[in-house]
Order: sequence, then C-alpha cells, then structure tokens
Amino acid sequence: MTEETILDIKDLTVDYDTQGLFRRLVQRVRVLENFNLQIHRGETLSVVGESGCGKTTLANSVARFKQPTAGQVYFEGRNILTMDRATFRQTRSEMQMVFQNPYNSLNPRMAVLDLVSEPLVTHEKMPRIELKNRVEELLVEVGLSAVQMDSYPHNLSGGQAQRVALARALALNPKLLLLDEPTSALDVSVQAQIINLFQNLQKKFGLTYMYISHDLGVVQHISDRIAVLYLGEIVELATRDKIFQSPQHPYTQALFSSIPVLDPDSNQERIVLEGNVPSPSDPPSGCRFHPRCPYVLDVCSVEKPAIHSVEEGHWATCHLLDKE
Amino acid sequence: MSNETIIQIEDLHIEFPAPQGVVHAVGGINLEIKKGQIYGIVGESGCGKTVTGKAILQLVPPPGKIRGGQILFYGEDLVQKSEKEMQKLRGRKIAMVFQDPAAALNPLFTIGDQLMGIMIHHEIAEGDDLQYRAVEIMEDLGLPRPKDLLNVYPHQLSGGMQQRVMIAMALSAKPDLIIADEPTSALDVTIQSQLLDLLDRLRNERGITIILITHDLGVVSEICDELSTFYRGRIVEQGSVREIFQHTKHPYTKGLLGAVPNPQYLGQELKVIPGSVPINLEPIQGCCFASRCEYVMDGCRQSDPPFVALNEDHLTACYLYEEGISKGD
Amino acid sequence: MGEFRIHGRPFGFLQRPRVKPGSMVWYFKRDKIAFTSLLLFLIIILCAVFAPWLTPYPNEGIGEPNISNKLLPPSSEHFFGTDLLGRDLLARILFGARISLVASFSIVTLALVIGTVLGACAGYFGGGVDEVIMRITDIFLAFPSLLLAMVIASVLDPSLENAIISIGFAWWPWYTRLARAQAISIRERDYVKAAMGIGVNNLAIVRRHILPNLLTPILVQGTLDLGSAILTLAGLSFLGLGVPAPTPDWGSMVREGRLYLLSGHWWVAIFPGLALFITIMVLNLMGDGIQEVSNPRARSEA
Repeated sequence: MTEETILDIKDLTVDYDTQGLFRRLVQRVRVLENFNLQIHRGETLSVVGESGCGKTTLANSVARFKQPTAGQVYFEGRNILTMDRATFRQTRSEMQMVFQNPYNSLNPRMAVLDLVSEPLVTHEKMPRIELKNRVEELLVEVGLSAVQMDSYPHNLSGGQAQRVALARALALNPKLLLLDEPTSALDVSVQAQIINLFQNLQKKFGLTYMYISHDLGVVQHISDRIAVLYLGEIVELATRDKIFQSPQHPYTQALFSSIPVLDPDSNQERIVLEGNVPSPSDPPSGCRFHPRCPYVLDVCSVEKPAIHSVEEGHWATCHLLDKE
Repeated sequence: MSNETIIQIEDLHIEFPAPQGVVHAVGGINLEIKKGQIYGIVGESGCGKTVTGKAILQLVPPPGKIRGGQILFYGEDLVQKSEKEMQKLRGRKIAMVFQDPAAALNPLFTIGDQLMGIMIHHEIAEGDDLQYRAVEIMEDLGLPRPKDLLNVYPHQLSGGMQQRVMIAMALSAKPDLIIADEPTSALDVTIQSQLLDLLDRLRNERGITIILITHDLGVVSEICDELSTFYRGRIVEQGSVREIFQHTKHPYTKGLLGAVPNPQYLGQELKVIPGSVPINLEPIQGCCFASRCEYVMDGCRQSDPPFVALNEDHLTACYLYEEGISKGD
Repeated sequence: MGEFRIHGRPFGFLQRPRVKPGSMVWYFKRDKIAFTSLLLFLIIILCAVFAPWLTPYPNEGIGEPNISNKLLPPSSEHFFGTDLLGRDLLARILFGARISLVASFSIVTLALVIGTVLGACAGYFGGGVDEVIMRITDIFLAFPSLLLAMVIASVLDPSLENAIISIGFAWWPWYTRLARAQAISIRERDYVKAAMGIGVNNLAIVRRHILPNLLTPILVQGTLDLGSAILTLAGLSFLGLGVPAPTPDWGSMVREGRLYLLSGHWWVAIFPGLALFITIMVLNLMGDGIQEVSNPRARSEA
C-alpha cells in the first residue's frame, strides 16, 4: 500500500430523476452530494453501509454506468467523467467491476471461454490459439482449469461462476477493481475461498480494491481502510485497526456492535437502533443520523456536523466531537 | 424452556425426481425440539434445511415427496395427516415466515386486510374485534403507528418492516411453533439486530418455539439454544449451541466456523473446505462428508458413521468419535 | 467436471449444458398433448418431404391436369377423389403440405428477423432511435394484419414468394414490440453493464448480449404463429391474392372446391379444409406445449 492516490472522487453529486409526462422532472432523489473520497494505490478500501447509503451508486458512478450530476472522478490524475468515449474506452480496461451475483453478471448464453475472452477480443487482435492460452492462464490464476472453458454459467457453482467473473475482470490487467458485494450471494465456505483468492491476487498483481460490502466480518478481515456511509455521506473514515479499536461515530458503533460474534458466552451489548433507515428522497435535516442517534444533541437537527480529525488517518463527522 | 417435546423428526427421507435420476434432498434425519426453544437448522445451500422446514408443514414443493420417516408434532405424525387436517394446523398451530417478504406478502391487499384475513380464516376473532386485535399484535411487535399500517400496502414498506409484518401475520393466530426460513438474510445488519431481539422476546414472553433455518452462524450463536448442522441432506452434528461452538467436533462444522472471518485471526488466510458440494444422485455411500474431509480414514467411505452422543447435549456422526471417544482430536 | 450443481441455484440441476433445451425436452415428454402433437407434426413433415414417393400421381400433385378423371369421388384408386381438373386430391394435399410448411416457416422467420432486430435496437438504444422505430411500428399496427397483407399482396404479382413477403411485412410489428420490451429489461442486467465496463461497443452488445437473451419468448411466439401463418396464407389464397394456380396450396384448393360443395362433389373442398384444420391444430398445440415448458417450472428448493 502506498500513499499515492489512484482514485480521487471530488464533490461527486449523483441524482436519480423520475420523469413524468413529456420528460418533465417529477422527483429528484439526491443519493450522493458533494462526496469526497481518495483511494491509495495498492490498498483495499472498504465502503460499508446499509441500504440507501449510496455505496452501489458510488461504484456505478465511478464506472460511469450512471452519469453524475456534478463533481469529478480522477483516475490516475485524469478526470474520467469528462473524457471522450474513445479515451474512456481505453481507460475502462484499467478499472474493472465485479458484481454481486455471478449468475447475473455472466451472460447465460455464453461459454466460459467466450466470457473471459470478450475483453481480449474487444481490445486486442489475437489469433484464436493465443486467445485460448491466455484464457487458460487466467482461469488457472483464479483457481479453475481449462476444463471449464466449454461450460456455461448455469453448469457452474456459485463460487466457480464468481471466479469466472473475476478472471474476466483480470483479463486486461486492470489496476483498480470495484467489488460490489462480491461474496454476498455465496455460501460461507465458498466465500472463504474467494476472499483468500482476492487477497492472493492483490499481493501478486499489486491491485487496488474498492470493496463494497455490508458484511462487516469480511470487511474487518481484508480492509486497509474503511469508509462508513450513511444516507449518502461518509460518517467515518479510518484505517481498519483504528476504526475497530475506537469507532467514534454513533452509527459506526451501532453497526459494529451488531456484528454477530461466534461466541455464545459473550455478553457483548448490542446497540439496537430505533427506527429504520430514512429514504434518500426525504433525508432528515442537519445531521442525517440524528433521528436514530442515541446521543443526539439539539444542534444535530439543525446543523450538519463538520469533518473532524480524530487522530492521524481517522475522521468522523459528528457534533459530539465539536468540543474537542 | 420446558421438557415437553414439540417436534420430533424420525428418519425423514425426502426425494426429488430429476431428469438425471432421483435427488436425495434429505437422507434420514433425526431431531428433537423442546417447547420454548429457539432451534437452529444450519447449513449451506443445497443441504436440505429449507425443504425440511417445509416438510414439517407438509409443503414440500412438487415434484418432491416425503419418502419415509415421521414428523411428530406433540406426538402426532404430520406425514400421515390429510391436507384438510394440515390446513387446520398451518397458520394456527404452526406458522412459517419466509426469506423474501416481498414474495410472501400479497401486493394487492393492505396489511390490515391480510392480517385480519388470517384471523377470520382461523376464527380467532370477528367483526369489530378484528381491527383491535390486528393493531394489538403490531403494537406488541413494536411496529410504529400500527393504526396507520392497517391501510398500507406491502410495497410501501421497507424490507425490515415487511419482515416484521410477516411475523405479525405468523403470530396472529397465536401459533405454538414458528418456522423462520432465513428471516434475516435480506436485511440490513442493524435491522437484523432488531429482528433477532424480537424473536428472543417472543420466545421469552410467550413461550413460542422457533425453528430458525439459516446459514449464518453468527445469528445462531446469538439466539439459538440448540442446533443441527446439515450437510447433503444429513445431520452431521447436533446439540446445544454452547457445546458445539466451544467444543466443535465434526470436521464440517469446524470447517464452517473456520471459514467465517474471526477478528482473532486477522491477517491469516481463512480456513477453507476444499472442493464443493456434490449432488446427491444416489443414496450416499459412507459418510456424506468423506470426499472433502481432511481427517478422512478408510472406514469413512464404506459405511455411514452412526450418530454418537458425546455427552448429553452433543451428538455427532463421525468416525473420529466412535463410542464417544475422540481419536486424534 | 460438467457436473450439475444445486449450490446456490434453486433449480440449476434441472438444466443441462447448452442451456434450456435439455430440461425443456424432458418436461415436454411429460406433457402428453404436446408430445402427441409433436409426433403428428413430424408425420406432416415426413409427408411433405416424401410427397413424390408417397403417391402414385406425383405429376398431378404438382399440377398436371388429367381432365378425363374430372371430379371422381373417393375410391381405392384415388383415396380422396379428384379435383375439377382430374388431379388426385391426396397427391395435391401432400404437395400442398410442402407449400404450407415452407410458407409458414418463411413468413414467421421473415417477420421475426425484421421485428426482432428493430425491437432490440429500439429497446437498447432508447431515445431517438426508439421513437422513430416505435412510431413506424405503431403505424403498421393501426391496420388489421390481414388487410395489410392483402394490400401488399394486391400490389405485387401473385406468387408464393410475394405471398410470404406480404404476410411477413404485415406481421413484423408484433415482434418488434415483444423484442423491445425484452431488450429494455435485459439492458439493465449486470452482464450488459459488465460488457459496457469492458468497453464493448453498442452494436456488439446488441448482437452478443441482447439478441441471444431475448430469443426465448420470441421463438415461443414464433412457434405459436406458425399455425396462424398457414391460416393467413390460406385466407389470402382463398381470396385469390395468394398462391396462383396450378401450385397446390390448401387455401386455393378450398377456394376452387367451394363451387362444388353444393353440387355434391364435397371432397374437393373438404379434404384440403381438413388438412388445414389438422395442421393448424397440431401447430397450435405444439406451440402451447412449448410455451408451457419454457416458463420457469416447479421451483424446487433444497
């Protein structure tokens, strides 16, 4: 892990608009507003949060599947949001996404060979033999073998299918991988295999990961840094150890306390939050977490908290830190 | 928790015909659940846990069929009951809560209609009493503004709320037993906490027995009293949660626990069970886990290891522990 | 490898390599009506293919008249009797099967290909492309299809090819709507996003990802339409706008024969009519069977 920034998200604002008759704007839901985040080369940065927090929108915007309303995304210094199509097509190969459900992210009508070779075919002209060899190399890299080349996604188990998706993502030697809940759809034992694979590949190829997940156990295991999101805003950002040792934001505390612990004797107090996550279309005033916060103060419903630096490399946005 | 047995399953076999042969989804399981327990049925996909839950209600989806064994509910065999008799039990004595609330709630009817509909069907209440009872149930469950909820449609609610409504519906006829199939998988972690708390309270305050079908060992360690680990349609380990988590015996259960990221072992690779789950096309020869077990011995492939009691709350089927003595633990 | 897995896929074990046909065939076999109609359909195809060898009167089948045998009732020499030009009716019907089958497949294929490509593009690209294509489609849909086919047919010279073209061009809009709806849902899927993320260009995405995945309902619709195609062609021929004499087309045969119904020569119109009836029924039942089978079936969870 280095301090060099590979991905710099600046003031990103993303809206989902519903259009009515004659393309008139009926409703605008602002999922992300003035969002800022930097990812360092070689690190695993996990983005955690619950439904409605905007983490998937974040990934989609970075990959340009969703056009943001405002802001910049600098990949290796270049703003990918303003690139023309041709240049971006090239850049895309350096930044690949792995989706949650491999049966949805692999075309069910294509065999493994075609699926993994699609990136190669799109960007380079290779003779068929070379193509097959390269695909075999990639399959071996992810723990599969050439035997699977003729299989279709539905012939594969969940774990195997996700490995194929990973092989496809690696085909163009990307620098950054956006992983959107890549193990949520898998069984526990398979998940373990895939996570070990992610970590090994990262060491081997020097990959940078943006890991989106709601599974805090996994996140604790693999992350270098963690960003906690609530309703489109980062409430806390820190290195893994610091955030687990001393979470500052009440939401982070509640979130971490609800990680089930595999020890029936442990009497860990679970902080149970009241109420539900509000809808992004109607966010609370001031600090967005205030209606559910166990430590809410008067100022919380009025003013948005500032970003406080708790210690080196650890930030939280909470009025409780104002006094310090 | 009393000593009365509410559910006893004996030698249950469930089969599914498929183009390539017959799949043995459940191959002879035995378990006993006492009244007032929260019992965990744990396993990964394809292990037979969901179909077992459905079998209790005699709702095994065709073309699957129960091919043998008994499911005793307060001593009466449900497998032998007619459809009419089962309909009297379903919802009334035994209720089921499904994984996907959106699929279980009828989008065309309001919450109130669905709740009251159940009560009318099971003759719990009638007339003006209905609304009052419906509101009462929702209040008990801690649902906000229950009077307003009566007129709300399922799609207007969040996943967590829908799940709680489903539980309200399951409770409306005051059942003795609730079978919850992966009730928290689709939910956010903070909502999951709320739901687990709720299930715990139901058991403590009303003495309702809960069967929790899940793959999430964390959830099991939180609220379950006893559990059975399923693998390929068989139970490989069974007993109290404390015993099994602290003195895990069966290699598969060990593998499952090892695969979950544990803060104590940060930086190490997660323990992995090699290979993947094979399909049960013929009855399994020998131990169901033999093909992936790191402790496999010759005898394992020959015959099915017997279920052995290690102490009064811990049973397992593994040749490492024949006659209760561990070999090379 | 190549084993079937239940792992994480509720009904994965019901599917075989090469996607659905494996399991579909298995379910098809269990549906007796569909299976029987498939067998009958195969018999019809065999009749069509081996027509010249199944009758002692192949030339009459094609159209050569034999006036001396005019309007003979069914007998051991002529099982279905002869028509107004003395041609053996059974032979005519066997050769007519060729026309009907070839025509119905061609019509459906033509309509399907045009409609699907247009619909897929409209659905995937959206925006202006979608507007233009759908407005043209709407214009075509404003007319009853038979009428439209008749108009086109009347402008062209009467021939089998032109009859096929007329009906095909009247039918494509239905496939366009179907394909468009499918395309809109497919373009939101992760594998399309993944292709975009790889940098695949739009046309390749349509060709590789959208089209193959929207085919199933389209093909089901196509099978259902085969029967209608025969009927429409028969209709056109009956009105004189379809296949010209002396080509043996069942519709034209009914047209010729209707003049003789009252004079007691019932066989000239009835037998071709029966052939039409049976074939269309068989195709419809088969189509129903395929439609049943291609819907996700009994979901068995483990």
